Amino acid sequence: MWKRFSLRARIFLLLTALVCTTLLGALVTLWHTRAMDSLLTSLIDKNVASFQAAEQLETSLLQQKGYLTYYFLDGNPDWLKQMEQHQQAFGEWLQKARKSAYTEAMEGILRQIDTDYQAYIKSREQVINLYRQGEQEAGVKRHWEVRRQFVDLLNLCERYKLMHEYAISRARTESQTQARFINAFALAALPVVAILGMLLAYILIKQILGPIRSLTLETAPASREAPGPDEVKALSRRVHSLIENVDQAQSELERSQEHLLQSGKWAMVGKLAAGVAHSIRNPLTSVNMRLFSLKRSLAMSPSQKEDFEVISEEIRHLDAIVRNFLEFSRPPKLKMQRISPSDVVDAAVELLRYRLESYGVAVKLLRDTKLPEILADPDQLKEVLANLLVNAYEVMVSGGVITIREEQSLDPALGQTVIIRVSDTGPGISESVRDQLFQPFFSTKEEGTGLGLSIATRIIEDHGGRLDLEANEDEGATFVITLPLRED
Amino acid sequence: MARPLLILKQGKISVANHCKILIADRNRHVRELLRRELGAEGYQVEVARDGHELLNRLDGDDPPHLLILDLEIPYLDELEIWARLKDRQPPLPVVIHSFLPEYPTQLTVPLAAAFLEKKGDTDELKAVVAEVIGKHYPRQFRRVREGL
Repeated sequence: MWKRFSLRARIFLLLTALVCTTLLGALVTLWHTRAMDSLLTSLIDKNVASFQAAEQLETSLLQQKGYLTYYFLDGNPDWLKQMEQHQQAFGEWLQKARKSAYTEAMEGILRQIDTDYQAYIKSREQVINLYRQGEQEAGVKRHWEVRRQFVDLLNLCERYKLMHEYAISRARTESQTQARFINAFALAALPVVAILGMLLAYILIKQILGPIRSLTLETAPASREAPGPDEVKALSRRVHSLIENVDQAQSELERSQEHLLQSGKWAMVGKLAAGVAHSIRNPLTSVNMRLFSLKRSLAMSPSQKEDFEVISEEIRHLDAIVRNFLEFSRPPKLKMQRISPSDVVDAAVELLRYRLESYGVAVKLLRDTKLPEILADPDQLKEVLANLLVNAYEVMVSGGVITIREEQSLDPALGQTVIIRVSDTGPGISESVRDQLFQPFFSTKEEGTGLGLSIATRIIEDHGGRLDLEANEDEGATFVITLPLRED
Repeated sequence: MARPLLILKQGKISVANHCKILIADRNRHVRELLRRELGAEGYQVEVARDGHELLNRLDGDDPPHLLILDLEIPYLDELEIWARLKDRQPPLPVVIHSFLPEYPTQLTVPLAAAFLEKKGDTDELKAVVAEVIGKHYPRQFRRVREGL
């Protein structure tokens, strides 16, 4: 069920639930505070005032007690005057009580008090009149009646006061109930908020922050540096650089597709040309054989002899071109074995030792230790090196030094590699020639077939390596063979 | 009882001092030159211009003692040629005379008595032929070799 929601939906749901719970809590608290406030206000403003009025009512009633008896005892009218004052006070408090009464029952009891009080006053007036007229006996009799009325009235006042006490205590109970409810609600809301918060934190950490961190580490460049405090920023930077890489790869792909298309055309042309070369070879050999036969039997003048030699020479040249071209277009399969390229270098130098000496060219070999073994075809590799050496001594017409430097290196594209540099002290390679140098049939030599470097490049590329040129004008040339050092 | 007959045949050839060489090459001019050159050496030379002719000669009444084979002759079924030569009695030595780098994996190559790259120089071929004959027929053709 939970899994059905997307990460986004889950976070939104949790966030909404969290906010709702918190808002609800806040609203309930707010409402509770207001309720408490209004309860307090009503308690103080209404109940307390009303209760005070009730108390004062009772007090002012009690204060009227006894004056009639005093008047009966000594007939002093001052007692009546004082009583009248208290009577007036009672009237005022009754008015106040009526104003502050807030229930039907209270109003009812106050009406009762008023009616009874009026009756009591009336009876009292009668008693006073009787005493004034000197009718003591009837007065006393009536006086007892008035006293009974007074006690009833006092009871009523007491009841009215009790009613207030009851109302106050009821309000308190109500507020306590409410407080208990709020407490229960808060107790329930607290764990809900805590659980929702923890869930949110769990999702944030487990499904957002954690993945971001691991992504940042995964996409980190090879230097393995720490991603820094802001992983999102680092990630965004890396994603951008990844996008750039993708763009680069895209354009490289397009280039190589173009190259492939081009090389597809070339392959076809090459096949045709190879067929032609092969067909040419047969009659060419026949011509060669006849020339050989002629040379043996013919008595020639010196100029005839020269013509004959030139024909033979050119035929040989043609044959070399055709042979090289066929080798280039139909490369033999590599016979791989584990071998140190240093051994191949030694073999190539040994192979050409005599010719190098005849050209007056010295070979300087810069080797710290023997290069590690790689998977290679020693014969093909030797051909490459011999080719480079021949190219080198042929440009150094008046002698020079060929330097062969062996080293190991880390190549960004090929990984661990072995590198063989073949440098000459010849005239160098001019800018204009440099681009064409590796193209088939390009040659600066009179007798060249223009295929030597093409074949060499192809052999090195078949080994998974690279053949590059480092050349300066006037300062000799350096051909660099880079071969991958595979650990398998 | 084919054996005595074969011995008889060999003896006859030996007496006649004729060593017979079959040249199979696609180029008529090459065939003819080699016929002339080897004929001058005292060999009896026959030529075949394609695979069919080659098979006919091999199956003929008077088979050659040595085969000079160009691998590029038309209708050459190498598998069939080899099947026929494998158990042949007496064994027929083959000198492959062809362009070198193009057929390194063909069947016949490792089974041939010699492999010679086709070049202008015919002396080399002559030397190889003499050497192979000397090795395979040490008695029959001594005089031919001595006459070189």
